[in-house]
Amino acid sequence: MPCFIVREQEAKKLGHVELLGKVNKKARLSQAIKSPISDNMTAGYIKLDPGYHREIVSPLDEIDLLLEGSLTYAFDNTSFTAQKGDIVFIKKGTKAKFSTEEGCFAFYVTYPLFQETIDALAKQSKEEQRLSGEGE
Amino acid sequence: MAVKLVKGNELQFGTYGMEHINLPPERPKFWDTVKVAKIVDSKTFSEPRFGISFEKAPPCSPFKHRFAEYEEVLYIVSGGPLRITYKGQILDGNAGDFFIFPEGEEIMWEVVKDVVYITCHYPPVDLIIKAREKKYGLKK
Repeated sequence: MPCFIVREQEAKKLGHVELLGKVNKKARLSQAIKSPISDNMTAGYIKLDPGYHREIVSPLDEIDLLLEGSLTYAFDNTSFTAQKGDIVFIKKGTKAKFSTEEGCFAFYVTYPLFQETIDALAKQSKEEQRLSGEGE
Repeated sequence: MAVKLVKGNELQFGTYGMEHINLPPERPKFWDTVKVAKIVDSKTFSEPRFGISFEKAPPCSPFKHRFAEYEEVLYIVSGGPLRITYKGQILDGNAGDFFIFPEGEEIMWEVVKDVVYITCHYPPVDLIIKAREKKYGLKK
């Protein structure tokens, strides 16, 4: 793939994402940089509405740069709140709670590719359900 | 650490950390003027994955640059424009814009006005440094 620029206006076209068959209506994101533009990283914007909360085992490495609002991360009996200008790194496999009372808007980047990772997780989950059904 | 918070007002800026490498003399001096805060490198992870740096760059005249050993996503946080000329096309990046530079691509790089950006690169920067140590050797 060649060098490429994604303009802010285009990158801010946000949409909901299905994660393991569930759509959180308070979370929207864009994938401004994704396959096949990149073979390794996904990058874009993420917007979480006020009251968003979710607990998840992170399926990939992720970096967030808070651009607006705040986001609280809780993990391993500790927690912190990132504000505008702060950068947060979440390691793959980390079980953490994410919540925001006021909402937030952030730049994010993941390694490896986001969509391919969650598609693989969904496929794996369906296969596990199928095998589980066969065993009954 | 599973989750790491880096406060924006506590970023520690330095250089790319290549002063010990016998880099070719034609390497643009501009790179020595960029202030670099390395957020994530291969030591952050149990295995090398990707790297993140927060960088502040002053204006510079256009020069040729090749992404020799790495792929890079560049996100402009503030300032600019950062002017990239690629295959004759001028791409002016401003705050909020994203660039992707695939490994091996060659561009013209020009900072028109002071710019702050985040670079996300694969592989991490310390592995890029190791590759350059091997390629160019160390200063005596």
